[in-house]
Amino acid sequence: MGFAFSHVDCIGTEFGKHHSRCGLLVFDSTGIRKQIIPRQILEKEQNREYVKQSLSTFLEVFDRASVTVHLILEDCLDIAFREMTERLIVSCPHYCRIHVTIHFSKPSISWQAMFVDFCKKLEAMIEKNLLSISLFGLFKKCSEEEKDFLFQYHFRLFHTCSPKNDSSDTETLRHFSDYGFKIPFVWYNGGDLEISDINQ
Amino acid sequence: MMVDTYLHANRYSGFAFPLVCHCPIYVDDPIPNTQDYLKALVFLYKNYPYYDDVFFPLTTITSNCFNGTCFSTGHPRLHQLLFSRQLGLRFFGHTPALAVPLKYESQEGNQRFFGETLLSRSHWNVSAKCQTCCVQSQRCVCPEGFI
Repeated sequence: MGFAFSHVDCIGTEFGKHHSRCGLLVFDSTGIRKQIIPRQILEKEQNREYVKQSLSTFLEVFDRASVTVHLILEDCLDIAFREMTERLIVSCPHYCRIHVTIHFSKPSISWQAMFVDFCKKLEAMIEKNLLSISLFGLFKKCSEEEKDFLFQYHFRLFHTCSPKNDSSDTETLRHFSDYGFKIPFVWYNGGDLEISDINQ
Repeated sequence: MMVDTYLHANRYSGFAFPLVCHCPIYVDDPIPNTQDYLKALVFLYKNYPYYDDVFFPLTTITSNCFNGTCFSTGHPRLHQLLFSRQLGLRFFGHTPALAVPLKYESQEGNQRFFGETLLSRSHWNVSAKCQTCCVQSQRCVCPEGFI
């Protein structure tokens, strides 16, 4: 019955081959939730729709569309724009998981001052894991209070560099990492590129 | 080595190697020669095979190829929107450089309209002009193809 699994993000395994209660054990992508489909059902072609339906219900929780909203930090300085963004996020269909990605070349003076209202209004969505906020840019050291705020609202940080905005400031990365952030670095490539650049 | 230094500094949290056109700030910057970029990707994959969880651009390409549509509803799983004060709301497939406008009025009560607009991407009428690229990629980024 491969038809039922062609679009499913899950792992199936046969169990109890020599047992009367054998069948197919299906895990979701997290490996925590499981669904058992008995062999008697799998063997009959007329159960095709039944299997499809039960798998669909089982995986519905994870079957969400993902909407990524890219913003530029300079635009977010405007309160009216932030409010429009809030409305846009709330307008997204309920089956969507939303990722807000904020790009910047110069970091904000205070993340907390800028996004505290935004985060408070959307706190319920953040807590339910329906909304995540990522910051893509070159970071500077900030106070413990700022880091607490970023940590509390599950901000994801990505340290970026580009040909125009290169930074070898690993000290800031270490500063955030020591606090507990996981910060992948994103290296934007443009202009002339040679492997020797990477191999420096 | 630069990658080593960064990996060590961020406790081996991984890295990504996208083109400048993937960042809305640098979309107008020139991109590198294709061969040079591919050689660099191959070099990095060979030397750092364990940090590819955020290895852009391959992660987005694979997520578009595998499980590209929702199982229950059949609509696309990934929607990329670019929202700016000057140009309003636009959407794109792979790179913000190819973003096209999405009609959206930020008013109350239009949730259904917005959801339908997003959904309609899966039912686009592909125009003759952009048929080749749309059919191949199964995702249209051309204004002609957008309803």
